[in-house]
Amino acid sequence: MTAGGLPAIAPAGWPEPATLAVMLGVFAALAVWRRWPIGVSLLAGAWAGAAVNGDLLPHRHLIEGAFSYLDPILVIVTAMIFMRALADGGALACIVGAVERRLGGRPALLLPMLMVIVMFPGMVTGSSTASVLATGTMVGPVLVGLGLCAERAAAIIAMGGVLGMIAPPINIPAMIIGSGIDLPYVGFAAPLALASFPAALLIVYWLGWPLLRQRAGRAAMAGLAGAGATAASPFSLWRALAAPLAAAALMIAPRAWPSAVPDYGLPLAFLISAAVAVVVSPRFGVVRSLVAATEDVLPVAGILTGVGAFIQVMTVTGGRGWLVALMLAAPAWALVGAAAVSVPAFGAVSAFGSASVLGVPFLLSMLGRDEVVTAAALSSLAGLGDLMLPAAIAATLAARALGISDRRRVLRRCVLPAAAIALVAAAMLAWSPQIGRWLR
Amino acid sequence: MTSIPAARGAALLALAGLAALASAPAFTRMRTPDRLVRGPGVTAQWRLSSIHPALAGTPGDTDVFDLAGGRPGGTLLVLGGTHGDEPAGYLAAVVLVERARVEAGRLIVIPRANASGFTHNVAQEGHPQRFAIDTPAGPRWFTFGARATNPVDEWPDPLVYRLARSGQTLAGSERRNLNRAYPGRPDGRLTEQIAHAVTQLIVRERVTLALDLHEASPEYPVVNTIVAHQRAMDLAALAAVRLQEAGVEIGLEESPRALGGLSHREWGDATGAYAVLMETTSPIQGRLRGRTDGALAVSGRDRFYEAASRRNRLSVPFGPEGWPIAVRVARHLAGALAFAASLGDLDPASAIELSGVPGYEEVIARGLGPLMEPER
Repeated sequence: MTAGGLPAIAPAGWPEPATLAVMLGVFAALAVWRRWPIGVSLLAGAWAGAAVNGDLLPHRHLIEGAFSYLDPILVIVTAMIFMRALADGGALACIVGAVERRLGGRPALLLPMLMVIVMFPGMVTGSSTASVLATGTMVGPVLVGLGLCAERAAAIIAMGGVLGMIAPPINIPAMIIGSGIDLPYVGFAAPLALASFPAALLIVYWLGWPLLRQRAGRAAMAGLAGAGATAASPFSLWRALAAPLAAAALMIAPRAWPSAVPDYGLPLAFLISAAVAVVVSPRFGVVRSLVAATEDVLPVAGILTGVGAFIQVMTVTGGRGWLVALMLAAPAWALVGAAAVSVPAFGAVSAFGSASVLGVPFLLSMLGRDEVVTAAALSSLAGLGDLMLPAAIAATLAARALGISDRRRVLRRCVLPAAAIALVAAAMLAWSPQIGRWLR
Repeated sequence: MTSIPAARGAALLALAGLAALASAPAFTRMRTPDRLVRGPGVTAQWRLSSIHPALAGTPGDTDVFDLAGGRPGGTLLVLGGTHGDEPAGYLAAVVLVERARVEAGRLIVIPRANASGFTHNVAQEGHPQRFAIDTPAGPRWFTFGARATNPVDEWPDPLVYRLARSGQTLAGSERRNLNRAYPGRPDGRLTEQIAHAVTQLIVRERVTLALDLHEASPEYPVVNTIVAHQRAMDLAALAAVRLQEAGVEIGLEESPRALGGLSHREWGDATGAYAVLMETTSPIQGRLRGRTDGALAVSGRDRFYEAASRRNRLSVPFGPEGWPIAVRVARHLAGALAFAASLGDLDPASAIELSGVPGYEEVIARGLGPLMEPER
């Protein structure tokens, strides 16, 4: 960096880690000590990193980085509008009530079914955000209504979102990692299924254990947020399902019939579905819902904006390269451990970014084994990044869907399930040739 | 997360607005293309939209330089700037436009194959917006662009990109990657239309050999290598031998049949041309690089890559001298010369004779600057 004409003050010997330390220090001081919003603290950390390298006005990098997540932010805003339309129009309460009446007494069957529902949008879109946002406000109240605490319910939604992103048929981190070595996205279904479905069953029973043990779901129904659901509803169930079905159709159709149905992206799918919800619902304050939805997502959008700028400056000043080089410096026997720790950790800023920045070099360093199984395992680790602070996007959005103000309460419930997924992925990395032969 | 008072929020908003306004010129400046000099060998200059009129007036239209020889022979198409962040391919094409003369056959050069890719940078990569080559008359500045079409020109990306011909699936952002869009679609999105125009150019101009110039990171397995369609393997083997004799260490690989959308695969399948891609290596492409700026794009030196090389983590040797731009451009120019000469070996009627193009040793010895026209 040269703007400002000031000499760089980062130390000559180790400028990259020193700059990174300054960036993290400024971020932590402002976010933790001064209690500034996380997004603003990240931006300030990014500016500090540029400043110690002699660039006092790094506006080009701050703006360019801040736009990195424009598309995910649009998805989140529009999905939140969809969720608000479902909730405020009453469709949500109707759906929750119907599910509870039909399956509330059989949690052993209900829990896996709800997990599949949560995972499904992620499976077809490759995005945990889509899963959590599309299903969080529907599945969450069902679980709470059956007697599960809100934190466990939110954890199930967050983990379901991440597992949906990992599960076949669409796993975008795997595509990104594969394209780094020109590996076609072929033959990934079995290893991705191995990395996701057994863990999903285990996790939903683990987190839903109080329901399985107490079988007290129906009694707890009285406390359900959508209490009106069990009473006479202004809806038929099919009318209430119109908007969620429209969302599912708009997500699936472009993938099922790509030559016939154009893909205009998730934001439009969510907006059209929200419009359907408005049309089929009794009259409600649409403008008030729009404002509330936008206010809900502003902190998340702020974090993503700050993260983008932070990574941009980290890359320009060499901090990102230093981190990647450090991870790849691990001896061959320690590569699996290094991947299991660093790929999810870097995913904190972006699962897709981690797949590209760390996933590709790790795959390259493990060539000669089973590349498909290895890439699938690395994509699974990258997906866990959506649970990592500071963004922790899956847990943050799940907490919001359940009205939990402190997302750390959700994250604590996700620690063991995430560790289980990481262990499966690490085992797949360690024994990729054997697993590859077994799967074929 | 904490909320902030309204006044402080308004101040932050104003600050963000100011930063956006202050940075706007830096982004809009990239929309002005570098001025290229028509060399003495250029006999015609036209736009890609003359092949596919729908591109006219779009950011995907680009200059095509035509260098026709006095004697009949084959036609060589050279593409630089398929990826705007791979400067060696772009500069090699510029040197051909500015210095090459064609004695026999015909040379067609597209220096900025994806012109839209030169109007932006990839977010979070922190790449420079431009870099300088020192010529005797002073620095000459070139744009450092991005791997894909500007999202302002083609948006939104699908989550998943399904290739039209093969049905293969890729991450959605790859739809804006010209080298995943071949053979293209006349009614597709912008990048697919550019791909279609290039493919049609090969057909219409009866191109004998199409050469796509690229760069890749030192950890990428296909690097310092020729990738050739199966029909072009004999020709590529001849060219590789010529390059080895000239002191250029280079590998040779056959284009994988399972990978769709790539130039060396789809040009070979969809047209009668020999389809070939060449890769050099550049640390600014890679994930291990340290400080990222215009100097790195030119010098090709990086201490993290040196360290990774000592641990055998790279596909190419990487010493303190790095991979300077002069070496990378010299490899591409030597490749173009070797392929042109080898065409005549295979079929004398398709021979292409070029003069004025500096050889590998000359570029290394003199550096790139003295071989380029000064800034105008």
